Amino acid sequence: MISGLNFKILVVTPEKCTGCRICEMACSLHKEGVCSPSRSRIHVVKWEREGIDVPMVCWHCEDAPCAKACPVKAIYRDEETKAVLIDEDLCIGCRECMAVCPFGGVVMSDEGKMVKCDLCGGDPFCAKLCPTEAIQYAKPSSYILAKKREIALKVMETLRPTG
Amino acid sequence: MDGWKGKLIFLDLSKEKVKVEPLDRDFAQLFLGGRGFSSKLIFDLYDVSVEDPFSPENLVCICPGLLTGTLAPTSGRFEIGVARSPLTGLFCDGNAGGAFGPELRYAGYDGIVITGSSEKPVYLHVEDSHVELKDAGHLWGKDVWDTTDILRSELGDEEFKVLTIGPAGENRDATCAVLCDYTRAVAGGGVGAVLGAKKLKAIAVRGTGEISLADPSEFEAVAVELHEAIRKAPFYRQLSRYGTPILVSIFSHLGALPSYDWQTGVFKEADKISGETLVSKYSVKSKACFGCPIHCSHFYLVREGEYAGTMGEGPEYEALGGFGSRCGVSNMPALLYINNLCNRLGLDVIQASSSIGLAMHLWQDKILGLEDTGGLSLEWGNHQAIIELLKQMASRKGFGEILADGALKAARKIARIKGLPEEKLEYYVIHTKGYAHSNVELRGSKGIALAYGVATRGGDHLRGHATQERYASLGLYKKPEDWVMVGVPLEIAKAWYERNALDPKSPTGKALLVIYNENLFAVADALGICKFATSWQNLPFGPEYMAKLVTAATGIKYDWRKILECGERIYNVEKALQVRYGCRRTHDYVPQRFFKEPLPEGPRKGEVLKREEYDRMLDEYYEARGWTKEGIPTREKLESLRLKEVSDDLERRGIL
Repeated sequence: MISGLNFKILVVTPEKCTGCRICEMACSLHKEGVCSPSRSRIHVVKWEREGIDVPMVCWHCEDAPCAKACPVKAIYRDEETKAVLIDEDLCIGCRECMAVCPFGGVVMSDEGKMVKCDLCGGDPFCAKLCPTEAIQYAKPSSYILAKKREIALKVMETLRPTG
Repeated sequence: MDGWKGKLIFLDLSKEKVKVEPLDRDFAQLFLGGRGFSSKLIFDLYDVSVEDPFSPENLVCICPGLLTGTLAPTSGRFEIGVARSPLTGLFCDGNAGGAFGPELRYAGYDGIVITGSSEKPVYLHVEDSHVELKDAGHLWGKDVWDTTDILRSELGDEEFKVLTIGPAGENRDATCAVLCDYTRAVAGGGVGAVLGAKKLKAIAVRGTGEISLADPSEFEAVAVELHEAIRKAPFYRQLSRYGTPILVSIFSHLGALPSYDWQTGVFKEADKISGETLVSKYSVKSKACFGCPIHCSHFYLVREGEYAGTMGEGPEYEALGGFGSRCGVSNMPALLYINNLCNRLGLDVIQASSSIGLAMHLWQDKILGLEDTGGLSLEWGNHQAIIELLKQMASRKGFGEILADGALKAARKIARIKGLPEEKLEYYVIHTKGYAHSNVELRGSKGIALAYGVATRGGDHLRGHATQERYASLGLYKKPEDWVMVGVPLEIAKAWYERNALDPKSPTGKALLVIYNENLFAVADALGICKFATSWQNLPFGPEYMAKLVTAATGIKYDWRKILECGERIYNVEKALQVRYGCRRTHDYVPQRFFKEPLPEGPRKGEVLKREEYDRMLDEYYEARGWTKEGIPTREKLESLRLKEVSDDLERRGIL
């Protein structure tokens, strides 16, 4: 069975990102109660001169380095949302997860807590407020199908009978 | 102090001193932030007897709004006000989006007040609580894009937001702008030239702090509701796809696309410079300011031809209309190249294109010739000549030296050089209070004409521009209740219908449309939100949403009346500022050409403004504002707005 037919993941399409950073505000306000990009789990990296914007998120990796590196097994996968979460009671704040994450997905807060995306319990706020669907919360299968359809549409245009 | 950061930076460049002062709570509640702060600070701190805009005593205020940097939709904006504009000699201001304003708030400040002049070029480095003036000798002469790159690289953090002037500002070109994020321009009547005279090249800001809110969950709920309402609004799709460039086709369709320096509203090649052409041929993707779901901007790329390789962000309608139809240019790649050039040199597309449009008009009428222009042919549509002139203006060389003072002063100077009466060439210039108009046709739009005339900063589209009459004439709104959808309080919309304000043929009630917009826009600029999100562009961010967000942010109760009253207060302070400089009724008239030259062709053929009708609209406007027939705010009005000190000041000066 192909993985990901039955649960949703965050899907990012940088070509659709306008660089507005609403996701950063949504995340910091929803999760921390303040407006502050520094307190957001998601961050848009920008190259203004080239017009490129890349939203950087936690991918909730299937084979998550953060979970593997955690010496006290505080990082686990939520059964329902499949999100990779941190059990704060077990966490000792050693920052190993931060060190091994290839995407910069885990940070330590000023209060010494490890902070990462938890998919807002299955209704991620960043995706909800993204105006262009550059960030979507979707089943990988439906995302891929939509992508296939988009490319197929271009092929279809060339195949359309004329005259 | 929830909502506000509670601190202002005072920078004295003569003494090379930086002071951080607490923000007064009463002041904050009355003026909110942004344009409210900067206008009132200028009123309070500026010595009116100082007439030279380049004197060290001139004052510049840079203030993000109260909602800047929050989840409120379109909340990325910040304001720059200047006590004496080199363009108009009066108070002037402007604002921009981008991410500079939010970053300044995250660093911990509600504004920067700048006085004095430095002997050598400097820049201000703000990194949270660290505020330091630094040498900018190596940046002087560099364009906006390179300055931004160099500062980010030497400060070692690509997240720095850089506000900077280009060579145009350094060389005191009055048509210059100040830019942040490479392409976000604050025009403000040449405030960049004032920064240039002060030798303040740039401000680089990095903030890692937060904006705390009195009631975060209420703020979140209202902001989310509003984001969704904006995205669901019927006009969102068009605005987010095309942005302001869509106005090229809309105005062209109405026969109201100012062309050939306002000689006609018909430009036959409009489709070549339209928003549709931009999107289908040159746009790579949509771009947005900070926090904005509308994303009206574009990243563009020219793939072939003379201007191949040109890439950048924008362009706004004003670049396409100003350098396009108004200068007779129908070459889109050239316009995109010109847009980039203005951004790099630090020029304001509206004022710069006005100077050049005037020069082309004088060329057409054989007042200017090759001997005056240094051998440049200024035929309509000559984009190579425009490019050369922009470079000359920014460096104050050649014929561009004359144009760099702005269209009105350029006309006077050319008259002197050619031995012609000044009035003869001044007649050509489409300006109010010395501020050249943005590319909007006023003949056939009574309310919009009034808005341009009375605008406190001079004639432009961002003060009271009464789009309501245009929308109503297109049949978009039929009854007061329809306006509630775009955030207009019902009792205000009812008054418009009672006065027949929405009929474009009727001069009555226009004052009400203009005043509502002026007050609403003043608040939008004080909150740091974009007017695009309001009824101005058929979107729902009205005074009720503003009140809810301000209440949730500050914990202080505001309702829509109190919000609009803040706008009225700000507007009265600005009017008092201009009155203090000597502005009276005569300064509130739009240019003579609109009264004397009917549109010659197209759907609006024959449309012209009537002097006596304009007089009546002006009377109605002053009366509804509670001002005298000369346009002076009365003591009664000022005191009702808790501006006793402003009326005392005017009385001391013998004005009241």
